[in-house]
Amino acid sequence: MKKQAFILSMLIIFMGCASIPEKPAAPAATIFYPELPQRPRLQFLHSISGENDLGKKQSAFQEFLFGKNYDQLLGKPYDVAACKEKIYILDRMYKKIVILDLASKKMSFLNDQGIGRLGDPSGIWVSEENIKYVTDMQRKQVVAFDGNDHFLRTYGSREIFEKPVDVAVYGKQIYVVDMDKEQLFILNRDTGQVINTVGEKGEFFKPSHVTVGPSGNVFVTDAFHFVIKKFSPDGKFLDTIGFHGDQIGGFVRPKGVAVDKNDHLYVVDAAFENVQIFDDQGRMLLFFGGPGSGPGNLYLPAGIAIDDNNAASFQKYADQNFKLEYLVYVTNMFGKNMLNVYGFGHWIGESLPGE
Amino acid sequence: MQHMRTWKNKISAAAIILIFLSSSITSAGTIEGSPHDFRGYQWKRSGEICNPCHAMHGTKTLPAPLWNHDLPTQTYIIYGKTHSPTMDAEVSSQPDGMSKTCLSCHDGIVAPDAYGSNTCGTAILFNKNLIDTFPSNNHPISFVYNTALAIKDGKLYDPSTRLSGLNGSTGTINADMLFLNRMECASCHDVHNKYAVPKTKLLVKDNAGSALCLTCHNK
Repeated sequence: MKKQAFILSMLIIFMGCASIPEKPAAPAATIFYPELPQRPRLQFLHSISGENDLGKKQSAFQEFLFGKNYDQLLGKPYDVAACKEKIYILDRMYKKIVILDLASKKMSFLNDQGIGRLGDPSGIWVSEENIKYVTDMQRKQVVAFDGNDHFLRTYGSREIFEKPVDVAVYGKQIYVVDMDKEQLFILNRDTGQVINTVGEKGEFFKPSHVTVGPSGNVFVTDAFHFVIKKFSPDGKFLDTIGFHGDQIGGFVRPKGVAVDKNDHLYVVDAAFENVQIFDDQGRMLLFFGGPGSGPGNLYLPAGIAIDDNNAASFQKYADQNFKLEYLVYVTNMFGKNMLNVYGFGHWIGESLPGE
Repeated sequence: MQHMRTWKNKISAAAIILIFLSSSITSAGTIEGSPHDFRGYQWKRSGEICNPCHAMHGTKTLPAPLWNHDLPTQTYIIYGKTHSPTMDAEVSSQPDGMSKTCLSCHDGIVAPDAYGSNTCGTAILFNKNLIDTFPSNNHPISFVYNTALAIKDGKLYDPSTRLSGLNGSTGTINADMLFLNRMECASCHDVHNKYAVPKTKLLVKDNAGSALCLTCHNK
């Protein structure tokens, strides 16, 4: 009996030492878009606001030294991109790139010292080769970092760009939107030469974001025209998506854009605080997020990225009947949830009514 | 519920007072020609001054989204704040509807950074006193500024009795500068250029001699 009591007390002491102070447990409610019993396409999975949200266990000693919870926090995330096991956040408060390492569960800054130092970064793209392209409004350049996050090279100069704000890469072409020149620049990735420009006739009114789809089509957020404009890979105008207004399918503060492998276009709107999804015909499929501070809600969102590589790392947050296909990251400039992680997936549970 | 009703009454009263006062103020400036008039922007646009900030409903009638047939409404909530069932009191210290309107453009990229950092959120995460933790370069916004705060702080004027002194107004700080008793971007920045103080960042009052600061701060 005595021995049992001893073991029990040791166990309690041990558990006491090892107990990990955590952020309040993940919400019990499953947030699907659309809600069941309609067929869910997306699920809100997780919010990341600091290193602790990556799942690393904090030791009691660390807690003693640094206090519990957030020892490293995101500041004002604006744009986001990802590659295998890493999420790159363009943070406008730090004016740096924050690396969220999903394998080591650590958060760090991309080392941009010396010639690669970033002045006023605004947009980021990670290519298939894991090269990071960052637009810098102060340098008036695109700064590239290699697979090891070391400085690689720059593109453009003050003679070319006025205010490069976002970048996307497809194959050998780099697409840069310049908000002051109100143009889309197409650069050769090897030579750095400008191949083509779009917008010299005043087509854009403060273009703010750019992305590329799986077939190379380019999508530009024409912010003050309140539409998304679609171009062929060589810059030929193809289509306009959306309109100015607060109705479904409209835009008021369109910001980040992303295209998934099914050619679905995702558009962030900071006024509706949601993301709207359109098919390749420009038809509305779904919207998600919405204002508020609850799980899945958005708070002045800005950037968006689709991640085909890391769904497995987040499957544990998904409903057991929901198989993730890819992830959707959305950055919030304010609010307590800085980076929202959603999963696009497939309902594998029992059959749904009306289907 | 009672509490809500009291609030609503106060809000209505404040709105009426505000409307009355704004009509009595001699307004020299207008939005025309102000930094928020984009008509002359590089290439002549549609010429609609209000259009960049104020969304119309749009004329299109669209079918419900293909993946979501059960929609209660065909319009979105703009700059919503209290629509989430999980909304909690903490969030009131985040920029809310009024200031969100500004921050959705003034994000540091589309328009100059009006409010650089997420200090509100950090303060919440570290559970510190909000007023104590704001860095000097960002004045806090979206917080209730009332008699109780003035008493607690000791170096703030009571906004319910102190006059704003805005362009001939005889209204109080609360009536002229606060929105639902809250300090917002527009408390100091005159987005429609009504007061037309030249060579300021659209301030509601010339800050020579820190006059704007000293409207509220009793230093």
